[in-house]
Order: sequence, then C-alpha cells, then structure tokens
Amino acid sequence: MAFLDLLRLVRANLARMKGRVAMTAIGVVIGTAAIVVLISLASGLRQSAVRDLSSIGPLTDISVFSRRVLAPFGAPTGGQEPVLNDRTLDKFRRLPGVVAVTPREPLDVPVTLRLNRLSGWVQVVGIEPKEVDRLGFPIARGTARLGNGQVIVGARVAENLAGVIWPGLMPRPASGQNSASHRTQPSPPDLLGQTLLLEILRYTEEGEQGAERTVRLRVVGVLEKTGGSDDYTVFMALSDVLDLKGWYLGRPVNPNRDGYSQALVKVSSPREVQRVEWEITRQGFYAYSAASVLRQINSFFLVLQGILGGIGAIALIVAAFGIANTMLMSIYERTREIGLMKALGATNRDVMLVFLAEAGSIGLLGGIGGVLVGVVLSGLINVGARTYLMAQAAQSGAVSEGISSLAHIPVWLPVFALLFASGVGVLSGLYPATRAAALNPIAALRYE
Amino acid sequence: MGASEKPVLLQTEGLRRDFPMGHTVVHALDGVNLTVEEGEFLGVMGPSGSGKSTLLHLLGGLDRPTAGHIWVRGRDLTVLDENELAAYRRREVGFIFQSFYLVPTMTALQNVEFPMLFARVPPARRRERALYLLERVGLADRRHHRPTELSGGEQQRVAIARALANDPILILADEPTGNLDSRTGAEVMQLLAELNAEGRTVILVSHDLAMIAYTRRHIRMLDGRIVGED
Ligand SMILES: Nc1ncnc2c1ncn2[C@@H]1O[C@H](COP(=O)(O)OP(=O)(O)OP(=O)(O)O)[C@@H](O)[C@H]1O
Ligand SMILES: [Mg+2]
Repeated sequence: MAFLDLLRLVRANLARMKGRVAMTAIGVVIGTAAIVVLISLASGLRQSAVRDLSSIGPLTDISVFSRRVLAPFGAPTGGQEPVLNDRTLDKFRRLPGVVAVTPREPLDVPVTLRLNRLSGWVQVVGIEPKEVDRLGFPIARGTARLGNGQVIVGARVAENLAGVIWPGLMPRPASGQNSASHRTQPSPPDLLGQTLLLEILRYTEEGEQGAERTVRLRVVGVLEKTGGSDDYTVFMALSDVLDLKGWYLGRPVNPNRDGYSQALVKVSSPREVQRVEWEITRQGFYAYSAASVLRQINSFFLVLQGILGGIGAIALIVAAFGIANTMLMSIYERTREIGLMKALGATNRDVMLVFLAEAGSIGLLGGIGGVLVGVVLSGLINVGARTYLMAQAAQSGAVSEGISSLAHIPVWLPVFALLFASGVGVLSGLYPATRAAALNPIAALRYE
Repeated sequence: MGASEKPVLLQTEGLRRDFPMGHTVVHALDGVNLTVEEGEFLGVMGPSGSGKSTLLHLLGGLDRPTAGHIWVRGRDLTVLDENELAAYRRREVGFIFQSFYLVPTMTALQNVEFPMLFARVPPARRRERALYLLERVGLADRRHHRPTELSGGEQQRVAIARALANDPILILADEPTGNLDSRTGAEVMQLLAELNAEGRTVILVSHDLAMIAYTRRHIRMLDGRIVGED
C-alpha cells in the first residue's frame, strides 16, 4: 500500500473511533508532558550551573599543582613526589596541543600596594614573561609584554586601591547590585602607565616588625574583567617574584629543587584539555581545569536528565498498555474488515502496517498534545519562579535583574519527545498488529 | 473432451480439505477433480454443508487444501507462499459474498476503490476506474452513499463493482443473491451474465435453481464430492 493511502486510511479509521482514540491519547499526553517538563527542569538547572561556572577561567586553561602543595588539603602523597620545576614544565610544553606553559608563583608574603595616597591589598603572581603573549591574557589596554620591574594588573586592582571593596574569597562578577552600591564612591584611578609601589614587611622571629622593602612597578597592561580572582591580581615577571621571596625568607629560592607551587598550561582548544590533563595527571601532578569541571557538571546533569526523563517515561509505558488495549479492541471489532482486506488481496504486511500506523498515530497525536502541554507547563513554572524571585528580591531591596529560568527546553527535546511517543505507539501496536495480520481470512470473514 | 476449443483456466486434482473437529475430522472436500475453461459460467449446486463454499475459497486462494492441487493457468496455487497467494487474489480473483461485506464507514466509491489501494493503483486512476465501474453497475448517482443508505441489491452491485476493480479473470460468487428478493436477485444475475459475456470466467454457488438457470454449465456436490454435471 502506498504511504499516502495508508495515512488516509489510518486517518479515516481513527476518525471512526474518535472517543476511544482521544481517551487513549490522553495517557500519552500525560507521559510526554511529564518527560518534557522533567527534562526541561534538569536542562534549566544545568544551564544555570554552567552559567555560574563562567568565572572559573578560560576553557583552554589547565591549572597544575604538585601533590606536595596539596598534601595539607588531603591529596594523597607517596614517597617520591615529582617536582613542578622548569624541567617538568618543559616536558608539558612538548605535549601535543599545548600552546604555553608558565609557573604561577604567588608571592605569598604580606604586601601592600600603594599609588600616591591610596593603598590596598593585592595578590601578586609571578609568571614567565616569555610565555605571556601565548597565554592569551585578555589585555584590555596596554601591552602583554612583561619585563622586570613591570606588571600587568587585573581589572579591579584599582578598585581595591581605592579601598572600595574588602576582598572576598571569590567575588562575583559585576552585576546591578555592585554598580548600584558603588555609585556614591569615587571612581578608581586608571593604573595604565602609573608606577605602583609594592611594600613588603619582614617580621623578626619574635614577631616584631623587621625590615621593609619597597619596589617600584610600572603598569604596562590592564586586563579585561574575567569575574575570577585574576581581577584582583598583579602579574609580575617570575624572576622578580622569586627575588622578593628570597629576600623575605632570607635565603635564595630554588624552584628547580623545591618546585613551583602552581603552573598554568594553555592548550590550543578545549578539545585538547582532557588528553593533556590526563597526561599531566599520569606524570604525578594534580590538574584542574574549567573544561573538566564543566564536563563533570554536564555528565552529572545528563544523568539527572536521564533519571527524570525515565520517571516521565514510566507514565508513557503505562499509556502504551492503553494503546495496545485500544488496538486489540478495535481488531476484535474490525475482524470482518481484516478478512475482507485479505480477500481483496491485501498482504499480511499491508494489514500489519495499517494497525501499526494506527497505534503509532495515537502515540504521535498524544505526543503532540504532550509537547504542547509540557511547553506550556514549563513556561508556567518559569513565570511562577520568576514572580517568586522578583518578590523576594523586591523585599530585600535588591535589583532583580539576570534571574535565570528554572526550566529550559532544548531544541532536541520536543523532537525527541514526539519520536519517543510515536515509537511507544508503534511498539504497543506490534502485538495487536501481528495478531491482525495472522488472522485466517475465512474465519475472520465469518466472525460475528 | 478433446474437442474443447477454449483453453483451460483452472483445474483441480484430488482436492481435499479436512477440518479437524474435536476427535473427528470433517471432510469438507473429499477428492474434487474439476476443470474450468476460460470464459465459462459455471454453477455449483448442492445441499448445505456439501462443501460448495470450501471449494470456492480454495479456488480463490483464500484457503489451502489438505491434499491435491489447483492449477490456475498452469500455475499450482498450493506451492505459493502467503504473499504470492495474496497477489493471486489481488490480480486474478474477484470475490462476491452473500453478505456483501462492504466497509460500513466508506462510501460506495471508496468501497470500490478499496482493493486498488492494495494493488497500488495511483489515486487519479483509481477514482476514474471506480466511477466507471459504479456507472457500469448503474450506481454512479449513489457513489457518495454509505452502505446503510443503500438497498440490498444496490449493496451487492457495489460489491460486484468492487470485485471488478483490479480487472480479474475469475469471478467467484458465493450465494450472491441469498440475501436478495427474486427480482433484485435476477438483476444481479443479469449483471454476472454480462460480465461472463465479456469474457470473464464466473463461478456461482447457489441452491436457487432460478439463479443456476443463468449459468451455462453446472455441477452438483454432495458430501464434499462432485456427484453430477449438466
Ligand atoms: N472452518 C471450519 N471448521 C470446521 N468445519 C468447517 C469449517 N468450514 C466448513 N466446515 C464444514 O465443512 C463442510 C462444508 O462446509 P461449506 O461451508 O463448504 O458448505 P456449503 O456447501 O457452502 O454449505 P452452505 O450451503 O450452507 O453454505 C460443512 O460440514 C462445514 O461444517
Ligand atoms: Mg456456503
């Protein structure tokens, strides 16, 4: 039978049992709507989780720590820990996909940054000047060429100098709240081209203030806002940092023996991250990247989607029995017609197709209804959530901008739901259709 | 025998059909040997239960014999598989039943088109032929009527038009006038005689002698065998 004829016949057959088709399809509507709503919730949660993650750094960066540094935080240590020194970094540099490698050596001593009368806290990190242009630093103004006595400053170092914010652990990127509360404060100074003073205090064994050292640093570049802790960081040439550290400790630092505490490995594309990270881990280091955190979050939400979708699918499986039952009933009622079809030369396949298509159509109709209901419900959930959050925000006096949706319907979801519902329909028609096709034509024609 | 000018359309040899019924077996057909020439109008008579319908079902490929052979134009139906048998019914056989068996939800036109769906006749050609056939049986003006809106005689004429849809060589009619009064029955028989005059082979099962009178040859059956021929 030609496809269009099949469709026309199926439409006529369904039309003559409208009520029953509607009742059966409602089961499918419920199941499909449940799938759409639950998966859209999981997808919405994933989206907001991933959006919050955007501040943890570029997707092509891998942070590398030696396990020794992490030992106080519970990282397992064996006897012979590999050291994160220049030789190791050279090895990283030679890994395929790696674009740049630099130590990220924090100057973990008490420092104060001064500009004229302003002063503030700052985080100082030493990096390898030769690698700077390849590290892909988001330079907003100035240059990415770093020499001794020069610094590249994070976007909000100036704010700190103005004494505006006491540094939090990891401040959120600017949203309406911050700019609103800052409006009354004087605007932070422009640091580009300025000479900053970095003061280091050394205490004696007895805890008294000992020597003090001040270095002059010229700002050659200002970074773009990233939303991460780099915004509050001053980047210096590695040798400068090692020098200051040595002065503070009273003995020269030997990174080739003791290792750097941290390194940054940049790869050419996010796709390279996993392999490079795996190789670094294999060499005995601890590697951390936004890309792999993202991957883990994604796979967690994939599982969540599967679980929630599965719960919805249970409703659809119940509906499948409804379809099978409806089809069996209609086959009993149309037994003579099946006999007639066969007498007129229909093949078993023709008969089978008619009933499979009828069952599949019930699934499809229910699926269409279910997708519509699901989309509407997801929309209502979002409206409800937004209203609630807005009321909350209004109460606390905050601006309610940028509230993300609770439910999100990815493009594939309606398509998947429709295919799934139709598939369930066809599957539940399989047994009835097989029975119809196997009917003996004469017995079927005689059937009352 | 040997002087026959017409080629043989179908031939059966030792045709048996058993129906197991509990501990016993009903021999619905018990060795039927029959030859039908092309263009014949054959009547089959016999008391109820003598095996007339069973014979017709076997000849039409709706059922398979327990033993024996059926050759149609030299091809043995008993060796065909399900699909080939369906194709045989579709292309070469037109069935007409006592209870018409029209699809109640379809119009007269749609009922006549129905077998052409399975023969994959394109819609335009299908419609054209169905209209032609309805005209042929005198029901062109009733084409949009459903079976319940038609008289018994009209329904049977729609069924005859449907049997002709795929232009079969063999028409098998099982008591086509059984549900009709004698006047309408005569109209139906007139129609079958016309089809036969066009060259189609018609086999008619009936126990109404008035209807058998339209045929040119008839056989009598009893207990699954052919017991006489006129
Ligand atoms: N499916 C079946 N199962 C069991 N017995 C059957 C079956 N079909 C036919 N029979 C038996 O086979 C015999 C022949 O039946 P058939 O229908 O061919 O008779 P018929 O000559 O057409 O009778 P009628 O004039 O009443 O239509 C009968 O005894 C009938 O009971
Ligand atoms: Mg009979």
